[in-house]
Amino acid sequence: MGKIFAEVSEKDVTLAIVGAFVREFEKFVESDVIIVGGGPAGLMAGKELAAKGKKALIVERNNYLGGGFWIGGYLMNKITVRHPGEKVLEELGIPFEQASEGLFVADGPHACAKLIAAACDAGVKILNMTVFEDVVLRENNRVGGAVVNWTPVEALPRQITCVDPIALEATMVVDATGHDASVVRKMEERGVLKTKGFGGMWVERSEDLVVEYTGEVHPGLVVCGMATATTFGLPRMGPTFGAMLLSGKRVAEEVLKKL
Amino acid sequence: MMLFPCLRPSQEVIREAVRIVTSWTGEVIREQECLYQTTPSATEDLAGLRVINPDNPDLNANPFPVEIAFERRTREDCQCGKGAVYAGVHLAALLGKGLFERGVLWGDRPLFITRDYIATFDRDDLRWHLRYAVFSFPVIISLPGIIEGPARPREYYLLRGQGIPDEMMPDSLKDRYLIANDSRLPRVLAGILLQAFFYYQSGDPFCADPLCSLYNAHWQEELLRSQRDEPYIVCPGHRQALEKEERWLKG
Repeated sequence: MGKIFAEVSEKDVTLAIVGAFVREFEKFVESDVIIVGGGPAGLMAGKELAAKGKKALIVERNNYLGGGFWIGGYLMNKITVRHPGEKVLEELGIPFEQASEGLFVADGPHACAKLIAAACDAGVKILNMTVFEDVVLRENNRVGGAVVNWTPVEALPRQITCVDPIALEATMVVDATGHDASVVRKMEERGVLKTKGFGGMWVERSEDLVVEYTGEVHPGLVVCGMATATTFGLPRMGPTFGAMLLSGKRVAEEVLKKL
Repeated sequence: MMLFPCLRPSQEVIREAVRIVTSWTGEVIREQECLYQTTPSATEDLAGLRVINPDNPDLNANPFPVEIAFERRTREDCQCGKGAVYAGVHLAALLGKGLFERGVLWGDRPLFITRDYIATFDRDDLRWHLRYAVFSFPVIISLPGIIEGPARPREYYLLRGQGIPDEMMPDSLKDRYLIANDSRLPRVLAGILLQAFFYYQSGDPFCADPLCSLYNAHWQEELLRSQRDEPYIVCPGHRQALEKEERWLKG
């Protein structure tokens, strides 16, 4: 009985990985947009921009994409969206059902997998296990890219890691890092802008605000998703994802205006 | 009284509440346009009145351009009620300036009903608290504040903390707090309008009697208990005050 798989050597496998990675990496050393954070807002933004023919690169510090989109509240893997978020689910081909008036529920893993696939199908490129370290600043402190490193480098003791990061250039950078608002906070560290902090007051309607405040906070830098809440000090909200999807769409519109 | 209501989409609730309070007091409430619309200069300042951190009395100093653009867009398109929380006393001062410029005086007893949240900073526990009303010039009544300002029963928060969504709360519990589009809202709002009426009459909108519509409720159950027609709409003392002015037209 013959072998099922073709015969390849270890070096062939290594060369295939290295070659494919480097060829792609070279193309995305300069992009139209770098999206920091591969959660639902970042993926949605990337999908929309790539679908419009823009070079979109997502930088994700974890191995997996999707952020909290895999599960809803209390570790239960059903995600909810409020109207009109279900239209995005429809658009992505994610099955859902109506839970009550204006509230829709979908399977978390199915929704997340579909969103990731939609972003990849649109042409988004992804650097996972890659952590955002700093911003590239141009004249008048305009954001012109991101400085990144391998995520595991962060976990190593400083005295044994002299691993310098590398810089990626882009016309626009999107902060889609969730509550951390890592890019905006980095700008704050540099004294360029100031976040308002994450509001603790619980207001169910704050989903609207996340979408409304999605936009440019500094030349070259836009925020979306929960990073918007941290940047502008918006009230807390429940575990529904409509705002993440719509904020991702909104930020893509804002970026397109700037490109 | 002059009423500057946000009529979208709460027109029916507001008009029913006005009808109720007029039937109690005979007070003519003249409906005007939305106060945000008539105070266009307020839009830029509004961004600075947003409450950012419930534990910090500081407001939103140096708002981003996107925040100011949001306020302008929201007010121009009559889209308030997106969930932002504003400092109630400061908001009243801002809108009051616009009212004075329009020649509206204290004697006109202006009321502003909004779909935005309003909060006041409590010096006792050093926190901002959502309120259903701020009694100032004008009196500001927050429609979502009626639902989310007074706290819900403790059991609600216990269940919520266990991940139970609102839709799955037991019916027996749901009856104990208001929700959006609640059929009890017009009557509750009427009671709050009556508080505004007394504020302009006497300077004091509240009553210590937990069954009087003028009771300053901090819990939803207190609010629902006080905003009923039984055993009385207002306590005997406040009824007497109304009767002295031949105001009490009901019963």
